[in-house]
Amino acid sequence: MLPVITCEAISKSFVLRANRQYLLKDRVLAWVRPHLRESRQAFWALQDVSFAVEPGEAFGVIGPNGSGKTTLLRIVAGIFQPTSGAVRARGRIAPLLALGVGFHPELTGRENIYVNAALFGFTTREIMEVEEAIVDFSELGSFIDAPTKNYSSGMQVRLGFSIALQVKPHIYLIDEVFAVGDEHFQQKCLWRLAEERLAQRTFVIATHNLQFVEETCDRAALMVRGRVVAIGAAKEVVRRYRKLLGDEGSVP
Amino acid sequence: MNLTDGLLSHAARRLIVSRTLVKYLVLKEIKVKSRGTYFGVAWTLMNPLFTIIVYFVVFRHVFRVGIPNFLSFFIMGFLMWTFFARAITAAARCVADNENLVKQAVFPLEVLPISAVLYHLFHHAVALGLALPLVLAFWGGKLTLNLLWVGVVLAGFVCFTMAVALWLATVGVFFRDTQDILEVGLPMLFWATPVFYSVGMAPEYLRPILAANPLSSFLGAVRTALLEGRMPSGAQLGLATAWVAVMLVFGAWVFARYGPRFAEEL
Repeated sequence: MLPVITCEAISKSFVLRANRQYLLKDRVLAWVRPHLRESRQAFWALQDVSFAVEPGEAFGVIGPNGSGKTTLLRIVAGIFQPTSGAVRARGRIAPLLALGVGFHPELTGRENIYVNAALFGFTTREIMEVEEAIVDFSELGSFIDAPTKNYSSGMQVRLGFSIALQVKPHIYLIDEVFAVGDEHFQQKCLWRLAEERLAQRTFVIATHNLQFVEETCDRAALMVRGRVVAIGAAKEVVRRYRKLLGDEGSVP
Repeated sequence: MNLTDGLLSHAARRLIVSRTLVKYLVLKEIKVKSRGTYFGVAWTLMNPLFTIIVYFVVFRHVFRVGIPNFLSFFIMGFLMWTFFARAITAAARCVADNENLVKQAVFPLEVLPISAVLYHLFHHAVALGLALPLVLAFWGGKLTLNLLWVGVVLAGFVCFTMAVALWLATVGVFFRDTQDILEVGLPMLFWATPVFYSVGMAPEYLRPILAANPLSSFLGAVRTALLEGRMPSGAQLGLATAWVAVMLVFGAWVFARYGPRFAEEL
């Protein structure tokens, strides 16, 4: 089958700048005072990353903090442009890098549904069609018409996740957003994810929850300092990562 | 699937998505600004209303500006100016204000400056809707077919503002002192724009500068159509059209060129 996501030799460098010149004033000054000039240093957040994800697959991305997981998801989503290499993704992508993007505390939950779903590329009619399903799934009841500033953090996350689950994209890019609400709600989310997978939706999941990757993902990639050091069956890759963590003397 | 079909439906989809998103972003701004205030949206009308009264009294009765129908002359110019100034100030910071959206969601980024402009257009359209009948009924406005030109020129003026907004939104990401520069630059531009005076009142040596100010031709064209009941002059219309065309191409080009870098520059 044709892969839904193909990454070919992606590299991404960020420029680390000392004396970062945010201001036009600084640029002008630096002309006259050379020691104020910006010094730049390239930082390679990703180097030569290649992988392909098949339709309906759940693909885990694991690795220590700062290994480039989020950067990789942002590049696949199209938020960052790769410095070199090519990304191809077929179909609609829903990046869940954070939940409830665009929520405003003064707006009610229902009003925020419209802003957030529009950010996922929904039209008004499409939002109206799923509005009730979102409200039901979030279990917010009459709170849905209260301003979100009165919500507990768990309630906000529940609403954000409920919207994301109704977006029905071809590809979900999920960045560590599983710690959602209480045990009951988490279980419900996992059930829904399983259903989505049966519907041939594709998942790319960056997480530190190794048990989740073992149980849920088909394949996984292990990233260390911007490079893919292992890729393959999820259980195997997690085992490699545990071994790596063990070698370095830190316990997961 | 046929390739051109795919491209076309992609472009169409992008347009629909942008429209929906702009709608909810503007609504959100309006709701947020008016919620919890007693007068709600009326507040944004109070500001120009009181400013207009104060300036009118000072310029009419203290400086004794002798322009016929000065109140109408001034109201039209002033509303157009405040719309322009507020819209581009908002546009210059719209990307930084929405950092979390830019970094965490995928959407056509141009919706940010466009909604910033439309939010201010909403308020000024309300103010204009209140002012225009008064101007026509009591303050010397001419109800002729040439009134249609007011609509045409204002539409062009909104396009011009959009174009400047696209450009400044980009500049605002790369230079954080754009706000400070605007704070100094806008008052200067204000006095270089014939809001309180007509170009004819300015001394000879200042006229080329005033003519080079794009706002002059828009203001002039609106006043000609509304207060003199004439079709705006070819020079006014030609200059205004040229400004809209040049700035739209420039603004859209700058935004398209640097937009993909916004997320990592923030």
